[in-house]
Amino acid sequence: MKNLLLMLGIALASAHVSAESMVVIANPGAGSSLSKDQVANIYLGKKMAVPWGGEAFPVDLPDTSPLREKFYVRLTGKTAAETKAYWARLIFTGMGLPPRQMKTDEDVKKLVSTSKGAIGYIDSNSVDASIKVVYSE
Amino acid sequence: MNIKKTLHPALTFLGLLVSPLLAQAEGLDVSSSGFLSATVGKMLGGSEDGRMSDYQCPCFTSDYAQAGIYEGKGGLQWKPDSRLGLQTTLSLPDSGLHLTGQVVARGARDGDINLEWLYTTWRINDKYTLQVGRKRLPLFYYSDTQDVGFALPWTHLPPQVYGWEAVNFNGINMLYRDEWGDWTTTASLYAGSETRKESGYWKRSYGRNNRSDIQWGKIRGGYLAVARGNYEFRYSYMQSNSKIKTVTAGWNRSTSSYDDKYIDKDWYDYGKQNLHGLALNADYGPLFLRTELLRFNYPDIFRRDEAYTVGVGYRLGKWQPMVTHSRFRAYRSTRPDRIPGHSSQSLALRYDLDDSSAIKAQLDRQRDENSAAIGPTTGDSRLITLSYDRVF
Repeated sequence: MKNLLLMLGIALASAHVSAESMVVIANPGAGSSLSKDQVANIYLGKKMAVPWGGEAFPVDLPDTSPLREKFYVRLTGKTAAETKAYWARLIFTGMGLPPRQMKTDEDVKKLVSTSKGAIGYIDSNSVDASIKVVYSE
Repeated sequence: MNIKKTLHPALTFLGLLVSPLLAQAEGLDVSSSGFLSATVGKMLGGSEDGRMSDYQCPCFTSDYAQAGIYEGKGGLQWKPDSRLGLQTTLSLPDSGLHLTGQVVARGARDGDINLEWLYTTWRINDKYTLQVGRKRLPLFYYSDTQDVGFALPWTHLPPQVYGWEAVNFNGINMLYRDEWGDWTTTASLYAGSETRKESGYWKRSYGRNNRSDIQWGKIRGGYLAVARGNYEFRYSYMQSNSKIKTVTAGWNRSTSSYDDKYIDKDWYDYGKQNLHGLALNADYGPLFLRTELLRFNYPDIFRRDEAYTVGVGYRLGKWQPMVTHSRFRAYRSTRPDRIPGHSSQSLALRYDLDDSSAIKAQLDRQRDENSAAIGPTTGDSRLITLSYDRVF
């Protein structure tokens, strides 16, 4: 029982750490930060450009990523599944494209570091000099 | 399947399929999506006195533009509302430039693959987007997604409002998106033209084997859509001229056979036409309201068409029942006794299987409400349809 409680405590603690460690990143050339609403609007296709100029190019982590679910619930108020259904409708109106899906944090960083309008979300432990943090909670 | 007719769109389709390979080579970004509606329907009954060329009444036209028509009393029919579409967008990163192509294979067209959309998009800035090429004519609220069953609460759109000759056009479209205070605003201005060979719309009158071509020239139009909270309002305007030519024999009701006397290979000019459309949608918690109202004027032939649809639905978890009433009338000042009209009521039930697929069941009851001087044309009918809709 003691071990079980200990494991539960560790699990909760790690979940807490994970939930707190998400950041939104952009190209090092990004001249400003983003507000929570700006990030949400870009990921919902409501905002087409980034404030530092150029077309917004949001990127996603895979469907299976826990970080993806947390990102959408906390930033847009929708679950990742609800957002997918939302985009399924929007794609065919010609009004925009859903975020491009990358496999890992490293892939997100690689794309963001080379594209002016790209933004992504990664674990804060993955932050390095190749990208710039434009939003963190 | 007509091989020759299908070849060009098929090559386009193939092009869309291999485009990821090309894009990889050219450093472009590729996004591909698709939609499927597998719909089966059965006429439950109705009158047999409809006069819809060689279609057997009782009959129900669910898709005027594509000649999607359920007919007769026997058997399950899958063609009128089944379709498969594929859309690919090539993007040049950091340029704001995109190329979008959409091809659709329809049961109503015997599976022929048709190029629906092919346009370039230039996102000029956060507010303005320019599109050039072939795309959907945005006459109505659901025009952009009218082929995407997953995006609709019904198995098919209300035919009284969505039943017209042209659904696409070739031209230029300027989109504007902004926020006016608490209002989210989308506006569009467009111009172009559309020529449709073998119009589905006219097959209802001239027979399933007839070829009639239509042309909408000098299309000019736009819409303004504003949304705030639970309310959404949309006004649409379009004007053009309208022509038709009958290329092959048409159905002669008197002799019940195809007759060459209908052939007229010169364009017949109906003159100018203009459309005003209004949509008002509201959401009250789980309850939602969808309404559309339109007036189509043809001043050169002294005619105006009026139609509306009103639907009320309720979201109950994954379930979504909806009742809809729709009505159509056409008035001609030179013949006030001859008023074509029809109405329909539908009961639709949608169930979301997951975030990208749904099943729906729908009962339709249509009434032929032509004035006595015309007599029945569409006839009365009752229809049940079941659909599986998916996006991928």
